[in-house]
Amino acid sequence: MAGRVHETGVCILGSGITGALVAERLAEQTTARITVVEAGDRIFNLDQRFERRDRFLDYRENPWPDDHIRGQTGRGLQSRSMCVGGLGLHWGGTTPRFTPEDLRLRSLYGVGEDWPVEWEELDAFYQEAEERIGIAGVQGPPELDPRSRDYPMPALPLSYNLEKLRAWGERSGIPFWPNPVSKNSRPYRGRNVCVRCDTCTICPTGAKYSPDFTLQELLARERIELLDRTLVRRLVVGERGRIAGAKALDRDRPDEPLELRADVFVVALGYAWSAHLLLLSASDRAPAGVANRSGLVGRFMSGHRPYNAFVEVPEKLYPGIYEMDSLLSKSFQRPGDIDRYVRHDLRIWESDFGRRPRLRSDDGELLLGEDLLADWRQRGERGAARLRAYYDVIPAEGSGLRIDTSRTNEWGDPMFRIEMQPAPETSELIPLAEAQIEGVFDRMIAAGGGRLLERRVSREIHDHPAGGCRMGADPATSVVDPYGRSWDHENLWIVGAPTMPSAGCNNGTLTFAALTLRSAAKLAALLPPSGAEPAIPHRAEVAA
Amino acid sequence: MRAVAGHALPADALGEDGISEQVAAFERWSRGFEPVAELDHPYIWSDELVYGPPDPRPGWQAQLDGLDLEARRRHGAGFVELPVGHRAELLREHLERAVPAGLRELPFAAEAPHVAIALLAWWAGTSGANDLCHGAAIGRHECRGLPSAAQRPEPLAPPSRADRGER
Repeated sequence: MAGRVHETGVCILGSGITGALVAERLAEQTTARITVVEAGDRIFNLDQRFERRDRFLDYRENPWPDDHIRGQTGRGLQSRSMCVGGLGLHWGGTTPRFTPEDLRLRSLYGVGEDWPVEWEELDAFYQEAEERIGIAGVQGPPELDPRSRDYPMPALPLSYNLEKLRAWGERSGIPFWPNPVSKNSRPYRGRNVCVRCDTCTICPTGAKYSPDFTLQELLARERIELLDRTLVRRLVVGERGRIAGAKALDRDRPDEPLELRADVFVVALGYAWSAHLLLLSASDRAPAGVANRSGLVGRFMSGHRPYNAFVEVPEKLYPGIYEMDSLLSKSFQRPGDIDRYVRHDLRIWESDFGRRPRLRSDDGELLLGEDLLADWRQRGERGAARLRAYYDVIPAEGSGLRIDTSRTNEWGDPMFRIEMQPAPETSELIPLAEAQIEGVFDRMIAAGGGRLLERRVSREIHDHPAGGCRMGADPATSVVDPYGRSWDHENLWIVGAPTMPSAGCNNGTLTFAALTLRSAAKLAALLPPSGAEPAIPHRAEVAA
Repeated sequence: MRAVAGHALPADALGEDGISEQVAAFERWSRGFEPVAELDHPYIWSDELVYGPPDPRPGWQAQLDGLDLEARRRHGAGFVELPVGHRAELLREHLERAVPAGLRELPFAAEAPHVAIALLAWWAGTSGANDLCHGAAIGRHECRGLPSAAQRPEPLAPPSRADRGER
């Protein structure tokens, strides 16, 4: 059957936060024709979100019921989200920056890798990401929370519970401040102010940033084309190592081959699907997969491990004032001189741990009616907090994604398996890291009062995963150059989380958003500038 | 259902009218239930989708019918007509049989092993129940605006006799 061909200037694969930010940056700075390709559905449904929120609260239903593709998953995957907006529809909106130490792990501590980026340069792209996304925050102590300019929005007001918990936590001498978030503390870029619905997994007002807003704006301005329900299955390597095109599948016309042709391809598919596509694209011209002469595609994946503690505090708190909001401290991300490498973040949330209504008393008696209420009230006289530290996991080279031919999607494409493996330096330090975190929790309880209710450490979870196409200054030890451009294919860029050499010890979205904008700035310089005649850039221009 | 609710829910705190309101709201919730719905896949670590339970309502109706039938066989009167003490005793016997000893937390209402537990679990998850427990207008599931977040929630006004359905 004869197929269709879609031609464009810049073809961005993926429409999550990374893809949306690349599209926005290029649309502003260049006249390149831009196409965003997304395998999943287009969910532009702000008018339906209160109803979806209600059903999420009432019935625990997925508030984004069309946000995935049946059979399109891999073992060890972080999330099934695959739709326009990606996991950026679900996300909680937590947006701390990393600290300068994250970029200098080898130089400072002798572990992991240094990043090929200077903090001062990244600071500017952090700021740009905060302004484009819309971050509400307040700077912590400058020595712990370095930044050159204010947040674009003031922090959300701390809740009654968090004010109490901040006072409690700071009795230990550890400073805490509001966690920065992508939720509007005032109307911002045409979106509403947060009204504290406390269901950030589906924000019914649009006060939380999600990439669909950026993409809708670009569509309204006719600055991008959006091919949704279009699954890219292979990248095709052409002459001189250039990416000649992509074989895709229109899910509404699966029997009709679709080829995407572009001067530049930008892979913005997140940590898992980026590596998956590159590996699936192996061919005679790229036997180990596209962009994989180093053999490191899918390697060096990592995340950070969560260590939670639930604590009873000597305060009356009111569970449910704003459970999604939290306090942050970076005291242990910037440890100064240390004998052994241990770094972690520290957060505090209100919690109803041990304060929820329960069916049986401590002695196993069934609680009904007034007995249940009396028990619930008695346990609620003192509040509870959740403390959580993420400590970073330096990845082993073998940590990551492999193609799994035993499992295919409904079009026959093999899926993948992800297995995270810490590097020896992390493995050796795990007991030390966990002991230090326990010490911090104990210190807070000793100073603030209260008692430990439960500790939960998980060595299986690696939150906010990153890597798989790490950047570097040496083609032998990295997949992309310091700006995300493939060492192997001059017109291929890989952006966002996959390029991170390490995943730090706090939420990574803002950092990979900043790296994405840095890549986009570099790419934009190769494309026709804004104000020039709209044109698809000539291939030679890009090659230059 | 109303007679069961009088024992499952905190009748003194809610009052007669409050109990009736909660039963009506629970029944509305039950009617809106979609069997085997796709559940929220958590923000992280969910490579597979999870689906909810099938329709629990036929089982719940059978449990209510069973309560009534046993009341008639034991006491010669339907469950609703029994004296309060007999009703409470019979319901508790049913629950002790239906609820596994290892079930200590309130389950998702649709997965409750008995309709009385479903009602209780559903009610305990409401904003109103959370407010009642803490004696304050927290409004857990409401969209409440930012400015009031910093304030201690206003105390709940004690229910009037009329609120409690008393004359």
